[in-house]
Amino acid sequence: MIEYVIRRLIVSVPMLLVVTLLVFFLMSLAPGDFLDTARMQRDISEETIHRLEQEYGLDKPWHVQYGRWLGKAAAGDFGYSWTYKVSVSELLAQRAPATLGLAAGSLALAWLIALPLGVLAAIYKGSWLDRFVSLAAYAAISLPDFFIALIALFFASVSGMFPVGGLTSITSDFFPPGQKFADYLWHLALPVLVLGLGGVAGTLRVMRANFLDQIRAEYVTTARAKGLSEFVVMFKHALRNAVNPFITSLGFAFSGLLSGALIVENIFNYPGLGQLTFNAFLRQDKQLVLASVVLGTTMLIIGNLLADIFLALSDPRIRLGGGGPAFRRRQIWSWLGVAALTVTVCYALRFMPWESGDFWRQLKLAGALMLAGAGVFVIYAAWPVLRQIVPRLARRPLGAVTLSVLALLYGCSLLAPFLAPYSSSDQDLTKTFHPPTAPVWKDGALRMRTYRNVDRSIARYEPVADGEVPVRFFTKGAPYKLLGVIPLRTRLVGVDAPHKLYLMGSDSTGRDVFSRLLYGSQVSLTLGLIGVTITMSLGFLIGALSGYLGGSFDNIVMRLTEIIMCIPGLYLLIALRFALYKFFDSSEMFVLIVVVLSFIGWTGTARVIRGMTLSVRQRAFILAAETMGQSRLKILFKHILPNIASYLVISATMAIPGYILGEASLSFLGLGIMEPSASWGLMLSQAQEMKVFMLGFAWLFIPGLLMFIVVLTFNLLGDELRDLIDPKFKTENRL
Amino acid sequence: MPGRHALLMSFLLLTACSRVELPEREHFPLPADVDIVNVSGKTGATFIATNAGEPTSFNPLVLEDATSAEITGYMLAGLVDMDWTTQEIIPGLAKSWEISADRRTYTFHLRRGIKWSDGAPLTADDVIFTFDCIFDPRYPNRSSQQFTISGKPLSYEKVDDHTVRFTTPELYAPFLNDIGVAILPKHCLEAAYRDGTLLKQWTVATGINKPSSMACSGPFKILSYRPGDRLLMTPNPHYWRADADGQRLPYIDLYVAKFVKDNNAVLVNFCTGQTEASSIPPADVGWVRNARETYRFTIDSQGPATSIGFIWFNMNPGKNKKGGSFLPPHKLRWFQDTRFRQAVSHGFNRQGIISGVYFGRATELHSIISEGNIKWYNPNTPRFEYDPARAAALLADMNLRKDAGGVLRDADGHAVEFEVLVPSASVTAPQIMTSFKEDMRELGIGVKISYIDFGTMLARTEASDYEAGIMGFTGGGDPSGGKAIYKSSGRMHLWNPSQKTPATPWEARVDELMDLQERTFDPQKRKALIDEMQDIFAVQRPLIFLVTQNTYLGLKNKWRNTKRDLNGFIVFKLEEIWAEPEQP
Repeated sequence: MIEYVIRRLIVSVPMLLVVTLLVFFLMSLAPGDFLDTARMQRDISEETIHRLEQEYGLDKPWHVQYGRWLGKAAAGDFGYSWTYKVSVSELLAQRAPATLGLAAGSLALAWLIALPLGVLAAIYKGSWLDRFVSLAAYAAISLPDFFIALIALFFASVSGMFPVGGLTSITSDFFPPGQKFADYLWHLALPVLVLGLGGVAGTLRVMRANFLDQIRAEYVTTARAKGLSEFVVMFKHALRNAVNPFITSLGFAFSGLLSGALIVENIFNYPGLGQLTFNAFLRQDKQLVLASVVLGTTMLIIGNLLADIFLALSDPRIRLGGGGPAFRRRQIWSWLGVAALTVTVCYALRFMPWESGDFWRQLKLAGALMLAGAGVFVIYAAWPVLRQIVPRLARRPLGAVTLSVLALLYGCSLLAPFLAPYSSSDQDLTKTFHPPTAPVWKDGALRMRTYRNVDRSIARYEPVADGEVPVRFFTKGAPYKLLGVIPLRTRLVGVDAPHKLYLMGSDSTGRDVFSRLLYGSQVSLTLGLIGVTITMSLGFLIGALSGYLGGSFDNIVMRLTEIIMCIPGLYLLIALRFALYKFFDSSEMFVLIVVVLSFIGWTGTARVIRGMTLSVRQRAFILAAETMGQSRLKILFKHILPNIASYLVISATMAIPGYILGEASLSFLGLGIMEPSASWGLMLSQAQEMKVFMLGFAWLFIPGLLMFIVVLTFNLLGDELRDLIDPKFKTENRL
Repeated sequence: MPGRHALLMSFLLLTACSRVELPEREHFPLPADVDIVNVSGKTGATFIATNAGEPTSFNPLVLEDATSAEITGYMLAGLVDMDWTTQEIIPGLAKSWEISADRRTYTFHLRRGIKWSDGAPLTADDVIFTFDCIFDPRYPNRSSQQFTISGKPLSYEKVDDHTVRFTTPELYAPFLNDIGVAILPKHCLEAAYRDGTLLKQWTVATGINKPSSMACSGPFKILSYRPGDRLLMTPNPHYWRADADGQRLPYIDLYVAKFVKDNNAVLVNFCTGQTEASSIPPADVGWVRNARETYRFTIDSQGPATSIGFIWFNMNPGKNKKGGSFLPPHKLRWFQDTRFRQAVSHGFNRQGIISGVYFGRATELHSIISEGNIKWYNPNTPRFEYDPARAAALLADMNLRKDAGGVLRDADGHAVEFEVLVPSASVTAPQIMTSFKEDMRELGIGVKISYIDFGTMLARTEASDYEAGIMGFTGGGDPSGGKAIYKSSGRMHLWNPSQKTPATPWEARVDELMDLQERTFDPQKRKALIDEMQDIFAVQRPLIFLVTQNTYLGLKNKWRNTKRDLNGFIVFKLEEIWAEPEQP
């Protein structure tokens, strides 16, 4: 056992090397460095800056800097944080306990709620309890986390029952120990609740599926036949087996304990590692970023190791061996291969003609072509499944509802310029935070109330008596192109200027929320589609190839996915944005966001598909095809793909909400879609200010409501699909 | 579920014993030359405030940010101090000073009997030590440049234990403004000064691990610091100021700085009575005010902020590294044309932004010094207010005309358009920019908004690789602190930085004025020079001034000894305020 652990740890050293190398390279892509703020001070001279640059080695090329860092890090010295001017290890050690408390607390909360509920939902499958629980679980994950956190903060401030952030009460230094601890828990309560809520839904679904599998197992029938009471059967036999996978997942949970929760930490002002690392990345505090990446990777390695050990302990059929010496040699070689690959790619990227406009045009064209190819692939793969499933889906009530909701939303999004009374940037500074204009029926025509600003300081409007103006249909507005081709000027509704029709109120610069929602839906609704197109095709191509071909290709691909999983996605996004912003217009930024999100996302899909391919490969028909001399490519697309296409469809449906919510969280952090473009995430993040809550500009939350509906719909649709395609929850059994 | 029990328990505990015992305050006799302030009050209260930043060092020699400066300002005193109510220089560690007839030699007399917070005497040796540190080339710091006048360092000498003498190499009018730098304790830092580690002393780690090792001369010393969470400060038992009744200042027993980055959380903290004071953004005053009865606080207007916000154009006619010009020649021609910049200024609807975005709580900006800087602001600068017709006329005068599609073009048919860099972290810039873009569209000018991170923006500004940008400068204080912006050789002379010789006559005149005011001692004459400089910037508009938001201060009603400054706004000194103890 000890030997096994040591061996595993030694093998993980190259992984740390490659990950840090990659992060170092990413950081070197971004212009500027941590001295930027000092450069901005108007009374710091150039000589001073220059001397500091030399002191920190910033004038050297990045690989020299990396070598220096590595030498020191190997000796256990992770350097000195520029921002805080303390040694990095000290800084991390300081923040670790708070982060640990938050992560462990929310994990415990999620399990305490989800495990019992999951069991109950499985026992009473199909009952109102089951339905209610799964609906509630979906609802909990259908709102962006920052929004839930803000609601919690609002609740704390209005009720006064909980502290509004912080780690402890300000005078807790003088509290007796018992009270100190209680005070700590009191401050932990709300952040843990918000963070735990997301975990509940996932855990609950897995627990329910596990338990259902166990109930159907033969030993349960045996136990029942023996005449054991139902209680004993359920809680003594089934439960123990169903909980087993969770014991293994403790290992994985371990790796997340120190990763921090940026958004919750931000809103509750909780001094954890998430905030620290995020700010370090923004300020390009290199040493701090690298140290936290090393920490994260180490936690992941230990977590995986723990998971394997737990698995071996809980399941006597599995023996820890990790292959013979030949296997180990191969692993070392594949790591070396990956390292060489990384260095080559880094250098190749360095010497690309980034500054040339032609190069970018070609790159964009290539990207578009690849995306189109991926689209064709997805349609090719999903078409047979969809043709078979959609009619059946439409016959089920929930399926019909979800399909029509999505059809309606996507339809509106296509017709946005026609349906919207204004363009997304039409502003009116005299009507900021205007409430929705009420329709009235008067003098035999549909009219709209007009409003007067009665208190500018709190943006309060009152309807003008007898000030109704007629609502006109098919009015003429600024020219636009419907569906990108049909030139038109007609808009569905409008009122005569200078009045404005605000069906859903106006925002902080007096733009029409309804119009912006329609234009924003074009971003928010397509983002997920493009995202899953990329992830699914990349995931299939790489996962299936690696499962089917095996050997060194498989080995290298698996190492690659491990590395990508180690690089925190958020930081990858920040780094790429810094490096690439120049070449993207603010309206094209969303392409970049999708590409990065799916670049991070494909690894999970690839790993699952690799597993599925491995099992399909054993089947007789593949062997038959091989003996008949069919080409590998043909086998891949004609025999393997149809067998996992249904999985692809289900997981694509379930993955779309992730993109919609992800975009919202990025907008909250100021890394998403930028003004003046519109997206639901951006609009909701602009409603985050307390004045919106306190002055009651409720209409600004409509983007949140829509996001909630869409995410819920996609999740329910995914569930329905799974019920139809995979009634035994086979796909759910992979933890 | 142990968690739930503990939670319940915590409620009980928190309600049961809400009174907390602070460590006993130490008492020492007042120094011989104590500074008596004409106030009176009672000791005992706790002052809690939120701070959006966080100290990055407690060492005043280290390049510092606003929060670090604020905290070290409470810890360390200077020879002289500034009275913010009158904006005049008042005695600090020095009880008095003399200026020689040639106005180049300043002799400061230190207070007798004053001590550091650890009881060590504070003498002329500490002052000399401080300036040795500042001018030591091993320790690059901002003060060394401040005290280098026309390329020559300030000279200083110890006369006796309580007297130091400074000689400026040339006439230098703002000297008294600058000399109030924090004096360092020689007995604490001398060893580090010798072995070259001075800049690694008094770090955040010192604040966390052994805050008592930092000897203080200001009103407070650090009791404990937890990064990301809070900082506690207690009175310096040897502070050299006392009130009319001989009570040593400060009155409050504990100062708490809570570090809260999220603006929502800052406001929620204040409007639920958890902090004593907070600045309130203009658009939030309306709702925060609703809680004023419950939590007994008042929100006072503080007038316009001292910072300035602007959009500016790249006017650098030079060549880049590859030998090409920074801008296409036609764009450079527009940007260099005063009429173009005036037209853009006329085209921007400041009142709209003020009423819509700031809920009416902001002021138009038309000078390079904000109205908030009462002492130096020139109210009579030419204003180029919102006037689209005038803007169109100016553009027509430049031979720029709208085509049939409403796009403004020059004689060669180039469409008038530019890209503005916007720092992505800014909260208000996107609102201002979207509005600016609409305003410009009215004139036929196309604006492309590019959000980039601040570091990149600086890098591109420094390399003159951009067309236009939006940014702000913090202001306040003596205008000689803004040399780097105003003078053509300055690094922050954004539109055309670090010029060898002034590119335009008006820039040459500004350079001249800035040099002249440094040698002018008559305050009125100096003001006149600064006024002329503001006039030039207002007419030339290298910076298209935007709006300055008004600031609001929320303060609990229980605090006494607050004062009003020149403009009648509430100000208070932490060491002078006190509160009646609340009845339990």
